[in-house]
Amino acid sequence: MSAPTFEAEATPAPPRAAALRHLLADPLGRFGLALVLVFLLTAIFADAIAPYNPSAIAIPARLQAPSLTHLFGTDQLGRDVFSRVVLGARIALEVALVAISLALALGGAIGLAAGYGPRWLDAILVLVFDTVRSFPTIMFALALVTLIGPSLETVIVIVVATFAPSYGRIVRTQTQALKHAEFILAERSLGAGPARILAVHVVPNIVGPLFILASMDVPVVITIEAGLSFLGFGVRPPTPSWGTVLNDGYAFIGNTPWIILAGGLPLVLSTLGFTFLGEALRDAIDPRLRKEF
Amino acid sequence: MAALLEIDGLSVDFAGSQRPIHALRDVRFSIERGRIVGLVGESGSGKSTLSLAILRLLAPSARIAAGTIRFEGVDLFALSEAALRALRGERIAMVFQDPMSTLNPVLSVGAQMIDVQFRRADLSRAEKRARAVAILKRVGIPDPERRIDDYPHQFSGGMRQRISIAMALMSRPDLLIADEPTTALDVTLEAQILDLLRDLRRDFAGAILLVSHHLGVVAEICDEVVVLYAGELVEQAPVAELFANPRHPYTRALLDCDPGRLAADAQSFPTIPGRLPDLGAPRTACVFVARCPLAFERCRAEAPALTTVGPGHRASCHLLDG
Amino acid sequence: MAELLEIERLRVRFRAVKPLNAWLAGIRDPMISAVADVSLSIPEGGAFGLVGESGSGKTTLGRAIMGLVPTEGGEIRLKGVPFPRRGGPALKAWRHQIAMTFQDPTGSLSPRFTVRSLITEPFRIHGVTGRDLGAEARRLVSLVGLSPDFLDRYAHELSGGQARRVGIARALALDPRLLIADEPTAGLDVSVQGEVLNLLARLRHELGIALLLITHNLAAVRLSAERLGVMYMGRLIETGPTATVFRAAAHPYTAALLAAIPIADPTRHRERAIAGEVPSLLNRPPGCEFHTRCPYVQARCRAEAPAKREIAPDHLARCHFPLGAGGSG
Repeated sequence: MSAPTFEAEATPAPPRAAALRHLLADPLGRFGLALVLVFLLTAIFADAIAPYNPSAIAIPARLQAPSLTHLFGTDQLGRDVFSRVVLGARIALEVALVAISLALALGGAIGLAAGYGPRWLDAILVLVFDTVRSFPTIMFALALVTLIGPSLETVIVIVVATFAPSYGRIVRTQTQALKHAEFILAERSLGAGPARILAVHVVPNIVGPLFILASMDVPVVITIEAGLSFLGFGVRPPTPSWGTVLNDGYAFIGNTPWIILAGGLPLVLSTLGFTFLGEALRDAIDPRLRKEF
Repeated sequence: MAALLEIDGLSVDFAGSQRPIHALRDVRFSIERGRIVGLVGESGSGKSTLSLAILRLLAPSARIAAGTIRFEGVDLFALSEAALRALRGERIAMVFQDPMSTLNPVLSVGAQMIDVQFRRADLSRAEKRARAVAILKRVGIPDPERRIDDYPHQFSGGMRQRISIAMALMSRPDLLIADEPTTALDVTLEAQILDLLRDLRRDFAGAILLVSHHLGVVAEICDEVVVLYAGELVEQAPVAELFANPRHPYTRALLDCDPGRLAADAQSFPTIPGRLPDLGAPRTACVFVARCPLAFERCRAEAPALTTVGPGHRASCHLLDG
Repeated sequence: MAELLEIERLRVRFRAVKPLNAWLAGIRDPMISAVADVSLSIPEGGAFGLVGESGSGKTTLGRAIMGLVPTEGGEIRLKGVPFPRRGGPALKAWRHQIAMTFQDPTGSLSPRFTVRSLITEPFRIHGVTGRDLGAEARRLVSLVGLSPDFLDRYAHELSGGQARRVGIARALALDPRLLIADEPTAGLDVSVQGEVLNLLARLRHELGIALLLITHNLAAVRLSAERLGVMYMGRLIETGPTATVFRAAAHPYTAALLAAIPIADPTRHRERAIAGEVPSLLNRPPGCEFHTRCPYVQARCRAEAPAKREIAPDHLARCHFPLGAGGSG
């Protein structure tokens, strides 16, 4: 029997407007939102924003310092670094969206089966998850690159393999918790089968938190992609990625530091932006953390 | 002599999603030394809010909008946090509905009961343990010398509640606040706990504020009863008087609904139709008007004041003052 | 009158302790019998009150009838047809005829569904076509005394009493022959408990539906069911007509339950409460399982488990020395 609370006001989820207001009231939230918006707009409108073709080589104009014609200067092949960074944002976003979606779908499906199905299935699937998760990412990346060569697709596969087990675990735990919830029991008593229960009653109740979690992984994926590309395991030249820009700039860090700055700064800023935004979102949605009155 | 606890014009508000919710409005009553006062009310009555307000244990979203609570003449709301802490557990102790939240699951019962005696620097650890064993025995825990080292989860719900009561009484507080102590228990266990509280009364000279939604519980051990409805005090009387002669329509209706009072030839269960009024709205009418079978024009226009209808018996109803 | 529901010697067991822990703790049998050898029957349109405290197994029994927990041994028959153990469409058909409402009123309603969707869900689950679901929703909601405005609300926007009504409306969607109400008054204020109970009574009269009322609230059973059964540690220790049991309980536990109800009259004090607590299901006392707490315990009670005794026609109790039968102290 629950303790008597306010019968007149059962705490419903705060209306979206109120949540948004709280988000915007938090200065870090505003900052994060601004950074994320800049990132998203840059990525989406990359073609329109980039003044030059990022792969256009122009040796005579190589290693120029930032100027009005080349906002971030040029790299060792005369390519406009600003355009490369702008296009790199798109690559980053693409990888993040595709990889996380795939990881969610794959991990989620397996997690649902593990959480709702019979114990033996759960035991097997958890074993699979844990095995995949125990591979160190770099070694796994190395192995994969050796097998299928470096490319954008390779990066996506690596990210999916890294994140799917974690998402799967989360989905599994949530599903297990719901499995014994009274409303699921009620649906079973009405005659609903497992397929219906999972699709109609379980999934909608777990996507919310899962979505927020996954969106906080976006900066992590961006960094992974940049890292892999930096190491040469990911995107291949001449495709611009923040990682390849970093790689290019690394060699010339002594006398032409702007290249590496241009590659690194957007990475840092977008990671910060997503992190602040994610935390502010979480605080805005959870009314129990509100301390005012 | 001043009363032990005086609640004077207490109003408490909570933060609502749109506007403040008035959980308590202008509640005034006092508790004399050594008396057992029952605080009765249903959901939304504000009874738990009141019991938590005494020790300033309300959630951060709550605000004391008006009024004071005086303990032995001292204004509790004016006390510093340190001074208040000195009172809590020592002069005023509390027992909650769910014993599992009162007891720390990772410490043995003995460790907790010894810890609760932290102010008694004059006692050795062995003496504190002995006191704990003695009081566990007093509240009916079998084999206390051995069981004192068990963890809370190793006890049943009824036992845990007894342990909570034991811990609360260790310092012989002047006031014990018991917030729905039996609500979570089965009826046979509830009966045991009520018998225990009645027994303890003989050795324990302090006052008890017993909060409950069940009139039957209150009738068993209380000396006087305060009835709350939607945050307001609607009736107060010595226990025999309240049950024999309830003057507020809500009290009467509540008594009628008590399952123990079901008439032998009843065809259906009595209920109080309707719902609580909006606790966020200002009070312009009698708080019970929407559900009162005797409501008339004046009830809708004006909130009644508390009228004295007998010795120690007050009620707020327009029908009572001509 | 034909029996609608017949339960014969039903048993439900759970593993309470993992095998390794059981072995380490010296517990011989890690399984507990939540329901042990229970038999009862309910006629068409009849009402049966299943009473017991926490851990008595009454909720488990209700769930077993719905097929939500597996059973071992014993039989459940609905209009003579045994429970379909294999599941499949036969189980679905079973759940077309029996419906259940759950203890947690808002918790048993899927949080993202409107009341309209919740109430009409049974139609969708069972693929019932050719019905105007909107009209059905309105019919059901008014059947339980709620206005049509409620159709667009969500579970968390309902009070406890309203949520219960929605649960009942949903249960009635497909015209079941038996409604199992698990603790319909739990968590409700005393002043509104009667609303739900009166509603159930009215529905019985209007729809001729049978009712299995599972509750720890004895007083609720008095007007709601003509027969009742009291469970203790998974066994039915007394069954009989409600009026008779209230007037002259045969089993000491039943008497203790009746005596424990607080009386809202300060001039009357009830008898001393019964001592002790329910023993662990892992460690069932030998003989009569109530002997550890029974004020009238005798040597025979400690050694021999009592069989069902007929105190009067249709009034049975498992006791060697039933009260008032001239055998108790």
